Amino acid sequence: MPMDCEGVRENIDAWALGALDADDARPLERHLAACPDCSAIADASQETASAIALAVPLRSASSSLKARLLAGAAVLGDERPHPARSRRYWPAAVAAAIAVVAGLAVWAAYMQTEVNGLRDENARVSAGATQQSEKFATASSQLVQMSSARREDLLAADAITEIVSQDDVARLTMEGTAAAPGASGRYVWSRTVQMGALVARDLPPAPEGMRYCMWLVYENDWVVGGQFDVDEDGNGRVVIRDLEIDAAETGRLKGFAVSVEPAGKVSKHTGETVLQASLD
Amino acid sequence: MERVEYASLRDDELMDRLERRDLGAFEALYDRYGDLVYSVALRVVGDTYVAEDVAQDVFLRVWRRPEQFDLNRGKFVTWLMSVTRNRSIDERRSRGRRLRHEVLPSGYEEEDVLPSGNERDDPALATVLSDERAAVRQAMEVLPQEQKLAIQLAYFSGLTQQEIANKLGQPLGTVKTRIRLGMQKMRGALQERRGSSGS
Repeated sequence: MPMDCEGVRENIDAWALGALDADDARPLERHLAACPDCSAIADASQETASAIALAVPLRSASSSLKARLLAGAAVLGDERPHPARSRRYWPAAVAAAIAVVAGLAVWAAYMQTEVNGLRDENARVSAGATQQSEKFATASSQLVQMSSARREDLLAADAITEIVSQDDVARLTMEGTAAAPGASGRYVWSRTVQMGALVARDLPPAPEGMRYCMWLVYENDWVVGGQFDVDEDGNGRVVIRDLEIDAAETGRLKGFAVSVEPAGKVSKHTGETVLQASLD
Repeated sequence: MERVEYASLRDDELMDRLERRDLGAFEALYDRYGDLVYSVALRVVGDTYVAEDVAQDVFLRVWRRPEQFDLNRGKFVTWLMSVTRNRSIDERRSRGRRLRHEVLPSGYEEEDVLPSGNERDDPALATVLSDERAAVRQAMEVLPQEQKLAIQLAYFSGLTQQEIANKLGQPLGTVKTRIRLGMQKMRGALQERRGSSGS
């Protein structure tokens, strides 16, 4: 049914807020297209509605968001949108992952240089001062460990790049349980490449002798995805690949979980769950 | 080569540069509005990861299709907030019941968007559009609570008037009146402020 100016002005604020039912919005929009006076009122109403957004408390986005965006924009360059593009995020995600890989590669190289330099320094100092030598040896060992960790990061970033560039990539947010209420995680996976990767945030340090363990939760069984550690900020990541799943035994995949388990080979879920997500 | 001071350029000047694929202009727009876009998305979707996805999507849309902004239709920030809100609501709806019931804390939708004691701005960001934001907050603060709630449920939760009526257990006509009166008061307060500031 056509809407007259009075009807439009009665409903224009609800329309600007997006609160008008589609059946009422359509005739209103048809009227706006033909009525400059009501169209001007609609612009003012939309400006008021948009101003509401300014009232929100400001929060800082992560610094990585800016890096991802700039990398994404640089990769997109002059590219214009394709009609019916199936997914929106992948160019930026790939670019971001490439940026991460490149950054980690530089970092790993830098760390290796540091280690080498420290070893030389260690050798020189140890000739004259045993105590100093031990001190530098410890530092050197720590740097070697850090460099190794960075290499693992590099491999993880490489895997994530591969996962997010697949057409069937899926994403799921994992939430902290009562055992780790501030923790969260993001799991991405692709059946095409048969890989998944978890990036966890804000997990508490695992107790001595324990590690975090990622699980694929099936109807009849929990299958180990892999173990991982977290850094001093509680961030950790693990890549899951080459899993041999017998669907007849495990049943349907229901979700994912992270628990604290004894370091080493784990085959059964015994520890406390700290992150979980359901596919249901 | 001429050195461009992007930070001193107006929004519409930066958008003109985006048409010419100027990455520096894009970075300047992000520096200016990135946290605001993220914060609005966060308020709507209630999840930091998803909010970052939305913010990323919004800015890449700005980069890819800067011509969609029409200066004749209003300010850049108005358009950007509209894009952000709509994109956030789409994401929220696509996640449907799961997002509303499992991610958003209980009572989140009814929470006042205006900062309470434990929800102040990140101090490092307090200067972002401080005058405009203060004016909007003042305009909202004077609204009766029921009008403010109806407007917030529409804007941040993406509910229709009928859905708001169902949620609040109020007649549809009452909700319509609350939204209309609330928006009129807000518009009046904002226009009055613009008139008094001479802008």
